[in-house]
Amino acid sequence: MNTEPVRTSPKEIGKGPKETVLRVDDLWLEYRARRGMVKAVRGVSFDLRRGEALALIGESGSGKTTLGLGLVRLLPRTARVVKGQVIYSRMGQEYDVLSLSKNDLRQFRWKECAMVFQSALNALNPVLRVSEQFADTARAHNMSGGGEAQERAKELLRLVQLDPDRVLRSYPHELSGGMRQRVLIALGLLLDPQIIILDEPTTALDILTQRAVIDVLRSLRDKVEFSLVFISHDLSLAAELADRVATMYAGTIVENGDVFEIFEHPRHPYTEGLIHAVPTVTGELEQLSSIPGSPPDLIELIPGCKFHPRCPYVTQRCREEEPTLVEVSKGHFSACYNWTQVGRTHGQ
Amino acid sequence: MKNSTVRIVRNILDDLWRFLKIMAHNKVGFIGFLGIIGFILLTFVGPYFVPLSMDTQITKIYKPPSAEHILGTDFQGRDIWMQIVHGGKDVLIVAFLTGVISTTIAVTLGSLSAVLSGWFDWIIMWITDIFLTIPNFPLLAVIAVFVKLTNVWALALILSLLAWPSLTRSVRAQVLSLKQRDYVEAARTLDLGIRHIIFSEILPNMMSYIAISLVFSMTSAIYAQVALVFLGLVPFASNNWGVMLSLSWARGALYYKDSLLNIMAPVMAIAFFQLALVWMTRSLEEIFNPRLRTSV
Amino acid sequence: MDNKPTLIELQQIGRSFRVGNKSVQAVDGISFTINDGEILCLVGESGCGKTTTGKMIAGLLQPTSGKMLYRGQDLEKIKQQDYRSYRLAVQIVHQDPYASLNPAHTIQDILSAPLLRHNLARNREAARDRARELLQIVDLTPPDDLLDKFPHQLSGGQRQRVSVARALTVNPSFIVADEAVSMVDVSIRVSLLNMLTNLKNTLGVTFLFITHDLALAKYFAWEGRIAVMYLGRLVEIAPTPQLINHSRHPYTQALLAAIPEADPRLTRSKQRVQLRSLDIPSLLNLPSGCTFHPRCPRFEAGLCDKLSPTLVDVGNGTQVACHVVARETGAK
Repeated sequence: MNTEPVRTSPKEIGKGPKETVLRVDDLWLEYRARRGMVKAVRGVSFDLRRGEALALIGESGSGKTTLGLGLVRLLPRTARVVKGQVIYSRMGQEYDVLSLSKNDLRQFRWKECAMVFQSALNALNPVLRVSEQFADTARAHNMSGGGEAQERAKELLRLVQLDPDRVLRSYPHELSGGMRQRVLIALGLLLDPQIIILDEPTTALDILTQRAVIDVLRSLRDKVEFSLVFISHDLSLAAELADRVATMYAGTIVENGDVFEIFEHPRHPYTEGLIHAVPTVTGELEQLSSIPGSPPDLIELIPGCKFHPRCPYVTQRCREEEPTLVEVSKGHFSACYNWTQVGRTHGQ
Repeated sequence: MKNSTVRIVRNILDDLWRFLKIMAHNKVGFIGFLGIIGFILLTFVGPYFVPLSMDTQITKIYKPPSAEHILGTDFQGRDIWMQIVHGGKDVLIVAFLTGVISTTIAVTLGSLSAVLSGWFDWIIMWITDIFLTIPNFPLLAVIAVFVKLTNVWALALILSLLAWPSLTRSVRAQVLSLKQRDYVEAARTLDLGIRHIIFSEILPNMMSYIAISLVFSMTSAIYAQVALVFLGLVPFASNNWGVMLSLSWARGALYYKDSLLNIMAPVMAIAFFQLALVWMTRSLEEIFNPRLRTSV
Repeated sequence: MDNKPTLIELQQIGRSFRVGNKSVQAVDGISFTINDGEILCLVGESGCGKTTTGKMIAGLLQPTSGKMLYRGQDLEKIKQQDYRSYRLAVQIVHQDPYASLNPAHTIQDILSAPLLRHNLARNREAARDRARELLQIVDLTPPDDLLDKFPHQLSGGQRQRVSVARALTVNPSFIVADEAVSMVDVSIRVSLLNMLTNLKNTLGVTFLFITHDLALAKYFAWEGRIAVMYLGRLVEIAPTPQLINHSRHPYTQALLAAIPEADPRLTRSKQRVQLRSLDIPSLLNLPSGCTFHPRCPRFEAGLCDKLSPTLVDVGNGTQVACHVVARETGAK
């Protein structure tokens, strides 16, 4: 069979810690809905280092999408920042995105941080050829839309394994879903940002196309240095691409750690439950179990730990007080009072 | 016995209160709703309070507004406000009848056409095509020559005859899209029958659409009606806003400062009534949304 | 394989649609059988014709070619009365929990309508009792909390369960589940699948489970079979463990290799299959011969691009539509 082995380890850890490029500090976001205020993000803090890939994993009602929009200040008008900071740093200079002026914000959006949205079709202007989309983005940032930008576009499209001559001449509707997704990734890289944020990058794509996008992202990270934040409900995507995984539940990060640590020794009952709820395709039939109960209500929050009604390890304290992240081993944080118990029942 | 009537009355009041609360959810819609109530009171109850006297009073021609004549007087010295109060009834009745008749025809034929498809659909679409290619207003004018349109019912029927084809087509398009919904497919595999599919699965989900269609066919009926009267194609049998408009126009009321109110009063009455109708549709949209019905 | 009677048999079923003035063959000559009490998974990517196949089996679409048999009777020649009983025996559960329940009705109304229509309940009281039972069967407890609610007041997982309960109102022997758990949160998918498995075990319901997710198919149909479709054709059908661990068709192998796994060590050490092309051909302009040949790593010029392969038995209960595999196993 015509197969080829692939890289088996993620970027080696241990080259020494790199500098932080993004720091989110106690961020609280909420937005208005008919029934009341949705507390979508409640006290999220994390660091992203240079060259690192962080997966934000969560299901419906986890607040992951609002958090993603908050990171680039693209919140809808019904939303507001209650408090907190989103600090980007470059060359020792730090600034808070949430307090940038409108003009600075525009510069920031593509140069420092590019966001690739879930619906790749809607994110591209349907009446412009791909080459014009590249030119427009370049011009909006004081780069000439002509020669230089086109050369860079070609190079980037080749990096995402597209044929630049064909793709640049095409309109978005002439490209398949996977191709559009890759065009967006290339477009995101045009201004050489430090960070790329991907919102559900592979949802709605076919399996073979998904694989192509994943492989492109992986090979890009070998060739170009940038940090990656991807927001997804898909655990397997995190397993594929992430260096670090943060699980979100009810608007807050409940666990954060190295990808192997998280998958092999989860220390939060929600993460553990998720891992045991997802089947793998390779091998024999495994025992799986769902997390009982329903997703959390972000409008009327229950007291205590928001996961406690669904948690097998619940104790009285969980019902009364909400736990915060504590370091359970080096670089591994969990927001659970009973984290030492977690992992016992399923016995890996 | 007495107890149960009390309960029924209370239920009705509860429903009414809920209805008002949902209507009030959308402010613009609620203003429209109040406006419509106001117009109904004005034209149906108003005449009992404002006596009609159409005698010419030469001494009072084109008087400006005063305590006695709040909108002033017309070219024959008659009170304009009195004419507005008395002149709305026919307009409202014809608009309402036309709206109900044409919407009923359109909903029945449009949904059957979409659900049954096949030859039935083909015939209905063929007829609507013919109607749609004939210019409406000239046809109306021709009909008006042959049929005596003194009766509100006759006028409403004729206006409905012209309004149903385009409505039928849009209802059909709506039903065709709803027909593709998963729950309609499920109803088909459960063999719930065509009647159930139309009346229980499809129509409840297009009630707001139907209500809005009704409102718009009412507004166009008003225009058609006033236009017919204005052009003199309908006999000036009674008092109505169209007749007021036509007569004041004929007297050149548009060109004198003193007489401006004479022509503007019916125009404004028609315009405000239309506006109230259109605004009310905003609340109608919410009334038929089950999400709102339960969250209030 | 087993002696259960055949419930549904597809013989060279095809379905074409008109797109503009062109004809698109969404499903092209598919044949398989589903036995009583069996689970068959239909797997494939978007546009492969799996949903169209499901809708034809559920009687929502008429095939444009081929024959379909229900308990041995040709559905074309069946009597009106028997056709009705077939229609009720086969129910469908849709993918989108937000579109599959009518927003204008309460759960009680949704469940009562078929019960009353088919005289399965004498009056509204009896229908309410039966609805309560059905909600319990699909693990929605306590049922009284839900009966008077509207669909929008339920979570996605709860709605899917109501959809299943609605299908059960008419005591079907066969349920077509079209991506029935794909839009539900991952943390509760498994419990939905377990509930469906329970229906199979306790009520003897047969399932056609349509999905794009091979991992879900593997979990749900471990004791059943998986059929893989590509561009309107069936390329491989085999017992689940066989297909997952020893797949034969190059397309199935490519799919299995491409799927990311929720286990970092496993997924990063998976063997990849390199395809010759990433482009998915359009149904409007299908490649000649085997439709997978422009992408297939085992492509042989002059064979695969000329002749369209048919399904052949290659042993272990597996059937494959591939010239190269057929030659290797010496199958005819």
